[in-house]
Amino acid sequence: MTTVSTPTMTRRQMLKRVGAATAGATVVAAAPMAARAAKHGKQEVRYAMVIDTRRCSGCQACSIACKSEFEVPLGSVRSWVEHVEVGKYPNVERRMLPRLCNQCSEPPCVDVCPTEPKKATYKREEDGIVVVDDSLCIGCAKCLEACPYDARFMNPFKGDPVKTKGNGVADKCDFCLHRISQGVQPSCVNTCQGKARIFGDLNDPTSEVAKLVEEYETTVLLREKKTKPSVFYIDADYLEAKKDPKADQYFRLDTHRRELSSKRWA
Amino acid sequence: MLNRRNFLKLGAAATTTVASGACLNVQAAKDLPQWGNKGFSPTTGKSRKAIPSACWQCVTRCASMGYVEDGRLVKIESNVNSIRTEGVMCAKGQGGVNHTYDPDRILYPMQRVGERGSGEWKRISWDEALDMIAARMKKHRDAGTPEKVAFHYGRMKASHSKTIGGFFKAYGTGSIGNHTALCEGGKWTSQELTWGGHYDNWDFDNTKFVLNFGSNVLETHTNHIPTAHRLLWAMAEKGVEMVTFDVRLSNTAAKSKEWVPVKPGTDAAVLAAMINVVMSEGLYKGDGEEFLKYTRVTEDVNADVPAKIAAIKAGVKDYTPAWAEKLSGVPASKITALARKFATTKPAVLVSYRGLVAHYNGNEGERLAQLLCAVTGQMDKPGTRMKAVGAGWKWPKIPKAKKIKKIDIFDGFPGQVAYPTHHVAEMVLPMIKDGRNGRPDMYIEYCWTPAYANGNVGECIEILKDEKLMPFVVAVDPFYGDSTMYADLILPDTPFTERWTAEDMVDPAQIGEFYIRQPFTKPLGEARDFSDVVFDLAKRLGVDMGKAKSHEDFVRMACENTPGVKEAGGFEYMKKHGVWHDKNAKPQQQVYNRPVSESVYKAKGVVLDKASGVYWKPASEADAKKGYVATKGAYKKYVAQKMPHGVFSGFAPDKVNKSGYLELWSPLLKMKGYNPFPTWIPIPEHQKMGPDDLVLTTYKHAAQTHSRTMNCKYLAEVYHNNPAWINPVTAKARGIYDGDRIKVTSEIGEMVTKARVTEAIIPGVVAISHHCGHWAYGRYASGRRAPSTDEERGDRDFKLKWWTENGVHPNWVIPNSPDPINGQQRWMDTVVRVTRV
Amino acid sequence: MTVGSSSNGLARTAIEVSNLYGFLAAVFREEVSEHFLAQLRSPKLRETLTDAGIKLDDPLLQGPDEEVLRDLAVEFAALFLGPGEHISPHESVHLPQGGYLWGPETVTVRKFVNALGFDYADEFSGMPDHVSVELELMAELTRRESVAWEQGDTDGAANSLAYQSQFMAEHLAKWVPTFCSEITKIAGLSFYRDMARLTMDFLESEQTDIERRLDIAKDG
Repeated sequence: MTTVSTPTMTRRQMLKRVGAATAGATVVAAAPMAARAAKHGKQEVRYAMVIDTRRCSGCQACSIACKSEFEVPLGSVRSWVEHVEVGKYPNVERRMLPRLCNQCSEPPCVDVCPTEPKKATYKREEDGIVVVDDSLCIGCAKCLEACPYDARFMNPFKGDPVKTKGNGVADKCDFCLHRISQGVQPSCVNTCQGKARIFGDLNDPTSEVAKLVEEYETTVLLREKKTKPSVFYIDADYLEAKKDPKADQYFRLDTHRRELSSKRWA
Repeated sequence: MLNRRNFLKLGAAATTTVASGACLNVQAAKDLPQWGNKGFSPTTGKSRKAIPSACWQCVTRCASMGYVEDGRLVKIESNVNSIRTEGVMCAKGQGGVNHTYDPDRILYPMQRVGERGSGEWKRISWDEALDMIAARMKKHRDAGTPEKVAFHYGRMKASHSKTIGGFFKAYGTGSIGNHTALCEGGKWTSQELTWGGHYDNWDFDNTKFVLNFGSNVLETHTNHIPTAHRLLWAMAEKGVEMVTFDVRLSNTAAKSKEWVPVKPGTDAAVLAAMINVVMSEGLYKGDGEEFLKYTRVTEDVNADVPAKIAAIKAGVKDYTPAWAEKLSGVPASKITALARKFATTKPAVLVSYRGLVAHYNGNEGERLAQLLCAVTGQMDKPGTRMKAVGAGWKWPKIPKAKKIKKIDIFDGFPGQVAYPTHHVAEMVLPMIKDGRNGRPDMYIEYCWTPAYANGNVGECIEILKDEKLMPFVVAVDPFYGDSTMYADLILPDTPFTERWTAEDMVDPAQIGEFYIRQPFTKPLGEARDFSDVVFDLAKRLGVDMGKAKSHEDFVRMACENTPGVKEAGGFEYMKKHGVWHDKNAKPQQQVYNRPVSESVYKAKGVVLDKASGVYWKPASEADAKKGYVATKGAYKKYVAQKMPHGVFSGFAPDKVNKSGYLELWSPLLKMKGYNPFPTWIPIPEHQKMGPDDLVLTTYKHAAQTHSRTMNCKYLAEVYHNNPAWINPVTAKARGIYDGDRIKVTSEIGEMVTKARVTEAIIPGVVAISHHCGHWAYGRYASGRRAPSTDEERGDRDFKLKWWTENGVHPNWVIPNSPDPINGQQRWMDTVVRVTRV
Repeated sequence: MTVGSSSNGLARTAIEVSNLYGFLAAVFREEVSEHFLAQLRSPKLRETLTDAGIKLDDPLLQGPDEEVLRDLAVEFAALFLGPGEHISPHESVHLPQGGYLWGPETVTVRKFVNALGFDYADEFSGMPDHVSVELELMAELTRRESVAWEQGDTDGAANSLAYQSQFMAEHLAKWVPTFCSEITKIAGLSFYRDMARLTMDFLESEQTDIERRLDIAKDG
């Protein structure tokens, strides 16, 4: 578990940290229509997830469900939850931010993938899910660096050891493609006790996700990166919009991700 | 070990590869109609075999669905057809998949060879093991001392309780202990003293306001997911507000509309003050008055409502909000406002658990909670706290021995606990050490880790290691746990993933769900479910176990015998679907105000006990003379309750001789020297605290159970360390900064841990969670495994284990100390000093 | 090991290899029994072991039966059974992608075993990828190889050797050396240390010898 307590941090530093760690710094609400505008060309389906943080109790069932669904090696995650504690006793809050790959419409990870003629990581034309083809991946890890959300990791137990020089392949959430293709909800969705994770086709106006994005002022993470995420948050704009943290305000981020402990905060 | 099957198949190709790295060619499904109950391999896309079963990570025991691929259990999810869980599952449930293939499982019966606790063992056969146990049991039966065989369990429910408990009772020993006092026994006893049943359900589906005293319901309740998900939905979908009193910002408090920090052990004072507000402001009028008809608050069982109101007013007149503010730190204005809100929002539910009851004054805290519900009429109707409903299986019969004898070590020292209706687990080892009431010759521990689960760990280990105090200890355990290591004989139990059970845990829909647990896979190694093992022991001893021949058989018979389940298709139906409930059943409520006809309460043998107003059926003239309250076991003869406005079914007693009223003037407590009316009792140790003293309080995390899940690697990755929470003000006064090593010292010892300096806790308190600091229970719990010569190979996940700290167990410094009324272990009362190391 | 290239020589080599596999399978299968101890103490086996560089120590050879068997049983439990920290005798626990019992490799081994026409004995309570299963499978394959050589059936010998080669490469060689070196590190009694070393050396030599024999068989 990572813990940080920084009572002397400046507001700017704090936001930077929040941004880096939770990727939640940008909180200008995405206009519902902007989200829908991603519908283009022949893409019939745009799979998306709405995360209603009001319904999240931070219980980590999604994290464990994902871990067991994919036998994700210890130290790596496809799906996780960040707990942010802010405020001053007794006016202190803990807010939960479930995280996963944003399945960006403009995925920076795809841009940097060097394999030819076909990219190992690509966005599926038919539904917008960003996937990794284990058989093409050469394990260069460029996509890990390119992802602003820290959503990818190297999985040493997948791929061709020779081709990947023993690095394994890039791995990340794929919205449980193997389940949704069979008409079953993703594993993190069907375990969630609050039903905080809602999955469906954003291009289908009758779907729950489309209705929620229509109805609520949702946010996306790091909107300024122009990645056009397919993961939308309800009520996750507390980090800035609802708060005006003072320079010396207590702030603590907890997550069970090893990456955040070793890379970000060491 | 290899049998020649067919020599000529030599030429057959060995199919040894699974699809590798193939990019799945999958078509997007337009709709996602299915919530679950189907599973597919993420690597091959192949459909997995789905087996409905039930979780056992915690006592909630949710219906589940396991997925099996090539004979391997690969995934556990919820069973979407369960009306209890409505298709969702917690982190612990998902993590249960780690148990089956835990590399530190015990796969064979093992007999101690070296000194007890030395770790030297040899494998023996099941026959040898069972012969050994049976010989001791036979010896004691022949000598007329079957009570010398003690059976102590931690968790044993439903059909497991019937078969295993049934076996020991059929053999003739009543020396049977449990762990309830370490968990929630105080809450249960307090409820038994008031409304009879031991368990309350909180009807979040229909409530409009939730007032919570010390329950971490969203993370760890004993009926966790079935209640928690309903609460989350109510808050999100209906805007239901919850206010949580807690010393610490739990995730439950964090999700509440408001967190009200309260000094430890003073929740009861706040409740008393709220009752004061309700009474002084007349907020009892209407629903409260109606409910008081069924409530006893004075000695006079024929008192009318105005007299009752006068009695309550007199009883709480000193408990003003200003008085409570001084004790609890909660502003009087807040107490008043919340009392008004609770009394006037209809319906509202009062939630309470260990934050309220695991204290010296916990019994009174819960009685005050019941009183607040009574005077506002927020009780036993939709949207309030209700008497719980579970499945009522019709169990096959196992005849009891003609005579059952017991050693009196399970209920505390003489005079220590007034009503130990759920025993006093934390005093069992101290009583064995003391010896005045005798000691068992054989102590069998089942799903029970006395060294880890009790307080005063150091003393517990000393007792367990002492062969003079405990001549023969048998541990039934799937894993080599913190107590198993001190056993003489280990029987390898199956994890829940390899078991049969017919299950019955409480259904918040108030209907009752029947469900079964069935094995996902065959037991590994020679592991055997202890509920099967007792059938073998019975055979050796000539003990009659009734018609069933195995536990599976017992479950099958329960399915075939139980009305409803039987018509639905019995055992075969349950194996296929896992769950069943009566679709025409209406939620059960309000049974207390059902009028009872004359033909019942004037039937032959039924008499009226004037002192209590109870119609009962005394066994003899002498009993009738002695009276209902004073006659042992009289509650079993309860018929109805006479009230001024008629004769009613009432709140029937379950474990003690209470009347059929909601009994808040308790002759039972009066008999034991306590105030019969709910009363504020200060905590003696807290009265004597010096300026440097703090209160150590404990809590649980959503991803772990108290003692039995830290071996699950996925859960350990999420929660494995438990630094002590301490408020910055409290920390600063001691020169403590975040991450510092600190020493926590109590009257029984000291421990060194780390500080987590956080604004999310009340000053004056240090909070340390359970779960952590195992010294055994597998590599992920203890951080220890056999040395490996090759760092690059083998045991992938243990090498990838990135955390190095496994936390410190707070029970080393918490004394074993029961609530004097009900025996509940006082987890939240320990006075400590905290210094920087 | 006898290195022969004639059919008879190869048959003899194969049966010797088979016997050694069988011996080692017995060593790791369960605690040393009274019968097995007697065999270990027999001049014939002692001599053979000495030839293989293993000198059984005096306590094992001369100690009172009951004591020796008890010590060996305690050691066996400490090394291979637990409870507590031990060296799992199962492949899936040792592979880089494993770390737990009954992994995907366990299924692979079971399928291999079944495909070769074998089944697991009812009374066997280990996992399908127990080290002694894997050694016993090799014993059986080399026995078949031997029969084939005896009958001049080079195709049959090649067939059996191909399976040996595959199983060695995909399973035994991947984990048994690590398993054995862990034993040598923590074993208290010289017997299991020696057996572990013997296993390592034997498997190493077999890895090359299988290929040599296979070449001969293919050449007809």
